[in-house]
Amino acid sequence: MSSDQASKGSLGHPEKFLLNSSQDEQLEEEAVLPDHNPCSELVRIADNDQQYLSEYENRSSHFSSREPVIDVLSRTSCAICVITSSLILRHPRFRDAWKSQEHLRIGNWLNGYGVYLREHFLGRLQPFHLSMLSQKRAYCEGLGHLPDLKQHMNLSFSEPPHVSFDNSRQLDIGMAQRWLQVCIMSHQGCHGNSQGERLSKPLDLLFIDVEEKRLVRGSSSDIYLALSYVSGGTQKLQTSNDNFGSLQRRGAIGGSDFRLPQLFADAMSLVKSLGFRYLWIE
Amino acid sequence: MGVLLANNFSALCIVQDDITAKHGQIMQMDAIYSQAHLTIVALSSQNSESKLPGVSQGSRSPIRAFAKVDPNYGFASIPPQLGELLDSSVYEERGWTFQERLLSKRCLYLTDFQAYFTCSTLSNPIREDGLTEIFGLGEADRPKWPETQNGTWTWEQGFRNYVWLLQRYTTRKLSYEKDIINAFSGLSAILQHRCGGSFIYGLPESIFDVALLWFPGDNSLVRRQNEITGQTFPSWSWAAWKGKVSYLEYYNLSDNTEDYLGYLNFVIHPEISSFHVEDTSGYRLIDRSAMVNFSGQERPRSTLNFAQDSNQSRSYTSRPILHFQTYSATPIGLSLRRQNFQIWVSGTVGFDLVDTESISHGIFLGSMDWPESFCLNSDMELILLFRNISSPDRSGPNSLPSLTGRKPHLNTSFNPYGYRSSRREDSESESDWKWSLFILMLIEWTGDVAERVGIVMMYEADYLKLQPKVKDIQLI
Repeated sequence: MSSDQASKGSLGHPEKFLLNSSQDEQLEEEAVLPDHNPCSELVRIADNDQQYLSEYENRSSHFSSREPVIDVLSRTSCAICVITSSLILRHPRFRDAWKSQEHLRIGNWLNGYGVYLREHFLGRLQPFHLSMLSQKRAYCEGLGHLPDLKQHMNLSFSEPPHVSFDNSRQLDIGMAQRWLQVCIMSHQGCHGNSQGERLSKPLDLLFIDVEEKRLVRGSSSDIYLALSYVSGGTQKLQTSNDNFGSLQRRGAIGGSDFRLPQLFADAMSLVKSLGFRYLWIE
Repeated sequence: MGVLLANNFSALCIVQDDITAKHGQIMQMDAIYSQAHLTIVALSSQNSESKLPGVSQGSRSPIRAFAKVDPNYGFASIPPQLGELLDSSVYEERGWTFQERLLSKRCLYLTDFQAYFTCSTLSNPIREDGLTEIFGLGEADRPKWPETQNGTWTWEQGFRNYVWLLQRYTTRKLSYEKDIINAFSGLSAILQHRCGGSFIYGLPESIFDVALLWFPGDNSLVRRQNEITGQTFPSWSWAAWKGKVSYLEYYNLSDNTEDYLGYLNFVIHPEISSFHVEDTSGYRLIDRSAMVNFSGQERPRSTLNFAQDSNQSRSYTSRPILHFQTYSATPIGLSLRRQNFQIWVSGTVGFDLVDTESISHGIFLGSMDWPESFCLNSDMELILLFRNISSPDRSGPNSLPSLTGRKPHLNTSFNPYGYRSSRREDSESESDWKWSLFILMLIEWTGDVAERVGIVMMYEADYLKLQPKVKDIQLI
């Protein structure tokens, strides 16, 4: 794997994301919002901060509106507040969420302040994230909602600017290995197999040896990876008494007599590149 | 050809011909996944022909979109949270994958967007893009396994997990209907190991009578199609039905332990002293040995001995038969009428059990599949499973002390069933409907065996009007 991937943020410290290094400085200097400004008032309203709301009640006569959100909007020059407030005020879905205070959250999100909306739509959770990573930039998630945004905000769409994470690349194996490493090194709770202890003796299992591409006999006390997938597909591939012997020969799995479906072949190559040898596939 | 399992799938690490070994491994699925060092979850893959995203070249495509507000401000899309991906995935709709993910100690999720990592310790997934997730997996999260000193759970603790798992599992799809119990076996093995007792057609043996009280947890619950080669499940097991299955509200898993314990005020007392099950493996007593103590009382142990005639031919069915003895009454002149609101758990549809004068005598827990109005026929009977002792000052053998030491949760505002006894009409006093609430099963006889129709709630006085008699029941 390339070196720039290896140097990316370590586990649990997602300082570096989305923006390339030239923009990181902006992020850091604005990591915390000032206490008394429209942005933080918006946060307090969304958090249903009773102290703030009662303060607001007391002084509301001085303002033209009894609606805290409108009030913030009228006083702010911050683009994030304008966008957030506008969404809340103009978009019925946001407005309902705002009122119910159940699915809309403003707070420390993605290492910055942001708005987060979950809603039920056709039985599925539809995510919408509007995140204020800094006061200079806001990010939203939920591609489905972008047309709405466009309509409401009169936004223009363009290609993303420099982003450090590009999902079209292959999986960063080094990162996956570090995830695993940290868990193995520091998570006591992940060591004990909470269920496996019921086994009085290890279970005999068959594994795919991804090095030698063959079936091997092993047991549940070996170090192996398992694949969990949606079964089905055109190819019917089975180990039976007839082919069991030949599948134990080196190179037999994935060979000409036993072509593997794409998913299994990919899984074998992933196991190998992660540095493991045995794979269990139902 | 396999009898126990569908054998049309690819299967590499299980030798297909070896039915005994194969069945053994299916039953050990909890161990296989929980012992794995890491489980690779092919979350975005539709089947075994799909690519594993991020592994082969060009298997992921950019998904980023960006909207510019002005030279300084803009919106950019970020990959969704893992919980949201799970919610909308085919993977999470399938039966077999349910236990695989839940049993694994570490999972690497490969999706079209990016990779995610979870383990038993972390409450939030780690993402390849380095962003922090703070909302866990939402609905797709693991159940909260009870934490106990010696690692064993009481069935009261385990029951909550059983319900939690079953409610989610039964919404899922199976390619082969007969796999319904097998694809749950890894999870039931955990419950069995922790709480004791085996599982009988999907129901925990130790709390068998409580487990019989399942009902439709969604709009639809239809009989599972029997397959020619498959097992036939008995009507009293949830496995025989297709659709979300749930249990009574006060047993439902609540995030708040106190809330849950509060429901213990609602005390139910089992009526049936012994169950026997008869199937291909013989005729045996169901051992409700666990101290479940929903009622705060030890369970009645078997006192009855059914006259068992081993020579009796069972020509009518090959299905497992459940034998027990309890009160039974014919609901003459009663019909079911759908309520225009849903009760308890969302999706569960209540039906009023009404007489010809439209007076409600009870509540039937149905689903939208039932006709809006339905006349009970003369082959139907209401059999008594549990009593809820509702009045603290009630005397007699049915009176039970509250487990929590508090007074039973019984005041005029406590009426979880949405109906009032028909006798309330002729009564001046509110206290008159502080009677025992009976939990009954509506069954339908065909010859000398009956099938389960559903669960009914009725106040004692209403049930007594039907003049119940003790009867031997054989449920198939």
